[in-house]
Amino acid sequence: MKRIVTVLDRWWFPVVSPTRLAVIRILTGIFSVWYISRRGQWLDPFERKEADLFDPIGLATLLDGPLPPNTVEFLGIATTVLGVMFILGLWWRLVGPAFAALFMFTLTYKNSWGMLFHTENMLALHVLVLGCMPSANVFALDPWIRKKWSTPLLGWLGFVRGTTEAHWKIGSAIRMLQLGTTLPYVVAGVAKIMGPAGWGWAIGSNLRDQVAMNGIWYAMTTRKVREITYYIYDYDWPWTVLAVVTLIVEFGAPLAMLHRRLGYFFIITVLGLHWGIDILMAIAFKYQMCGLAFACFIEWERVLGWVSRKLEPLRGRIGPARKSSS
Amino acid sequence: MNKTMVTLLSAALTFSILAPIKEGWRGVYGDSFPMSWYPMFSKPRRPLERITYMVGVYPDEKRTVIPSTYFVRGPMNQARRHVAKYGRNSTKSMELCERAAKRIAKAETGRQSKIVQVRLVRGSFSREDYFGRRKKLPVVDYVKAACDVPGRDPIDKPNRGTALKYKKGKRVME
Repeated sequence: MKRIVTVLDRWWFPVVSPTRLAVIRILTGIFSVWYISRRGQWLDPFERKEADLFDPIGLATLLDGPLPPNTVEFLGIATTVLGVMFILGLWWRLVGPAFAALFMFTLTYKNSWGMLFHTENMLALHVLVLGCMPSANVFALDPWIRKKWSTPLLGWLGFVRGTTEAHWKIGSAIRMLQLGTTLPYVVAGVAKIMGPAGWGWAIGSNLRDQVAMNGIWYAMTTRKVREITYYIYDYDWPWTVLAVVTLIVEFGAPLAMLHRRLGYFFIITVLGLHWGIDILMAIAFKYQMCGLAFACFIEWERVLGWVSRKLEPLRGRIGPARKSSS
Repeated sequence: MNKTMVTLLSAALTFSILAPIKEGWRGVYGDSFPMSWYPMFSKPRRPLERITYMVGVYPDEKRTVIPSTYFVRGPMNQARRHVAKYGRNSTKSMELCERAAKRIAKAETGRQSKIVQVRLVRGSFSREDYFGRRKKLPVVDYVKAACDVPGRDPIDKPNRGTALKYKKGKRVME
């Protein structure tokens, strides 16, 4: 029993370098700020005109009705500003959770207009985990500020000292990010087999119907349909292959947490899944398709170490050249 | 933060992501954010797909789909839901129809300049016909609203609720 506990402890609380979590914080932060500032452009004018379409969900159910346009504008600006501080790792103990909460609220509010964007679930979960964990120990302004002005007041105000030492807290944060990445796929898989087709979903006819339905919706709304749908609609085998692969990827997703190589394999297969969805259905899961959603499966400290080693000879070459030119 | 606290947080995260698997925990609309149930995968599909959309009609009764960007905001799925919601109310349907007609009226050249009437309709499409046989007309359209394009010669306007049936790529008059 003790051995099992030890194995589980090592697996769930691996000692990991803070570099890994910091890189994920920066990448996810950049994507979030880009995403929210992009969305903010249409949120405000939209809500000024169509207030009767407000259908609050999640956190937004706490509101009596749509927010005034000025508040929405402020929400967009505040989320963006906090997002930039999140990327910089500035005033972390305050900004981390504040950005996570505000980002979650802004996306929830945006999803409260009659349409849930499933493409945003994973991003919201990742920002929530990153904001509440020690993600600003390195590559952040907080440790630099604490080093420059060594007054205890800064610590009291919420500026983190940071450490370059590997710690289980970093490892467990990575595990939580991986949970947020893999478990939604399991839910999507369960949703498929709990439908009327059951495990028969794997035959592929439901998938074909869903793709065709989506195609008709696109045709009648935007006049644009993916041409590939016409070509493969009449064949059975592509749909069976796609359906079986989808179920395997979705139910097998948590296995990616067991080993680094399984993680890499998961990234390749799930990237294929999302690019496939975009090609067939014109539904772009941007966060997933660009690969940032799976950054928690990459050992960034090793990647950076490798890049640093590769750049070493280059530095050597640049050095003498500078000397000779002077 | 100690290991017990982190374990509890991880358990809470796992529980909240997996919670929608239980039917009663899926939110008010059977889905929520950011913990989703992805109901589109488990909903049974009807033999015919229904969608509310806008068409422009030429003097010879031929039709063309008017993109949603002409009368509502947002990406495809959001636009579709909003148009469907508007279609259920006769006043809102007419408002939307007039908004599209005004936009069409601005076209002075090209095919859009020949559109004389705009209709908001709820159409039923056969997937097999649409993608298998490339027959892109609906089986039936129920008119939600119809309005003339300002400044162009009007044609007969169908009333709200009128069924416009199509067969073998042509409109069937009843």
